[in-house]
Amino acid sequence: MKHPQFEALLFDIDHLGHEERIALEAHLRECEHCNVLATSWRDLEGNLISAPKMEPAAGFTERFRERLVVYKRRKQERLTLAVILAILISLIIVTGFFGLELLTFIPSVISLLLKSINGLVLLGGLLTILGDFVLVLLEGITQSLPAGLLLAIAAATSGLAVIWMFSIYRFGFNTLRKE
Amino acid sequence: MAEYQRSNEEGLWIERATQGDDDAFAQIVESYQVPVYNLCYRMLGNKEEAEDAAQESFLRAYRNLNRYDPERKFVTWLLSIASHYCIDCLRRRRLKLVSLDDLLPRRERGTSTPGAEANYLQLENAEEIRIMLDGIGEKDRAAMILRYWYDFSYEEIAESLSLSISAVKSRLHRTRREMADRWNVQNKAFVNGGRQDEASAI
Repeated sequence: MKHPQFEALLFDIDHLGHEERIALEAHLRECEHCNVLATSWRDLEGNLISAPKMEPAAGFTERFRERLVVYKRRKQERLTLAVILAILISLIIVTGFFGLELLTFIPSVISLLLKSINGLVLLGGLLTILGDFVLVLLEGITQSLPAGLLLAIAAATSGLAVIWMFSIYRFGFNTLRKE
Repeated sequence: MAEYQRSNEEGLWIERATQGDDDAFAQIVESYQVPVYNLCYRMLGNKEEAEDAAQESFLRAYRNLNRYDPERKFVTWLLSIASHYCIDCLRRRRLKLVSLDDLLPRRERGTSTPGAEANYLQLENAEEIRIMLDGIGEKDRAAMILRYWYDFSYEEIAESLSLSISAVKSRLHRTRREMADRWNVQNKAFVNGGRQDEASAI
């Protein structure tokens, strides 16, 4: 065996076979260079193995939790930003592709808007007529019935309304709350 | 590695953490903070950077937990993440602009009086080893640390550092050789320094 081969064995003592071990021991008795190297390595290896284990400062896990919260918040922010960007990009692309076609829709959109406003105005007129009719009806009733009967009808209606509301509260809401 | 053998509890934590339970992952952090921090400290050589690297390693593990293969030892996977992160840190550090003072060999810094030199040479062995580790390449350093502080097999080192087994063997051999030489030179210098001090005292 040559000198470099012995050096290789020197640093791999744990994995040596019986014959290799004997050959190395014989070489170390003769070769001062390898002997010095072996001694140095033995000292160094001992120090490496026995070096104290370093521990982090107390509260490492709590600090990690804080870091995790920051990480998650940033991730959420990035995600939100990505979604907004994606929507914007999609809008730009859609506008780019269908821009001209969209322009042809604009007049019909305006006419639709005008029709809707017209409909709303008509609805308003109908509601006003209905309100006037109800007022005339009430006036007719109050003029044809005596005041005492009117008061009795009002009291009875109020009483019924109170009973109705109480029954809704008692049976309706409580049942829902239990569920 | 015997102290970090997988327990049933650990398997449960991993499973729960994979499903998004942060408390379960906090348990994992609590269990492995010392080995991860120790590795980062040995790799980077200072406490602040080691703390940051250890925290970042856990965060990376958290992000990639769904990629963890339960067939592997969890601690091997975790230390592999920490090793890669520290290797990246060291590479970034090397790329930063260095001052002229940084370019000087460590021993030439400070005063050069024999007393100060003797004090320097009398640093604790642990500190000497740290300095020695600082002087070797990132992957070689990681391989040495995993081998001697974590008792990783050649296969586990190869898996952790994405190297072949023969590459691990050759890197370890080269590093051991370098370190043994340096240790020898350092000890000789210490002995000679002591003799010079004695002579000057006489």
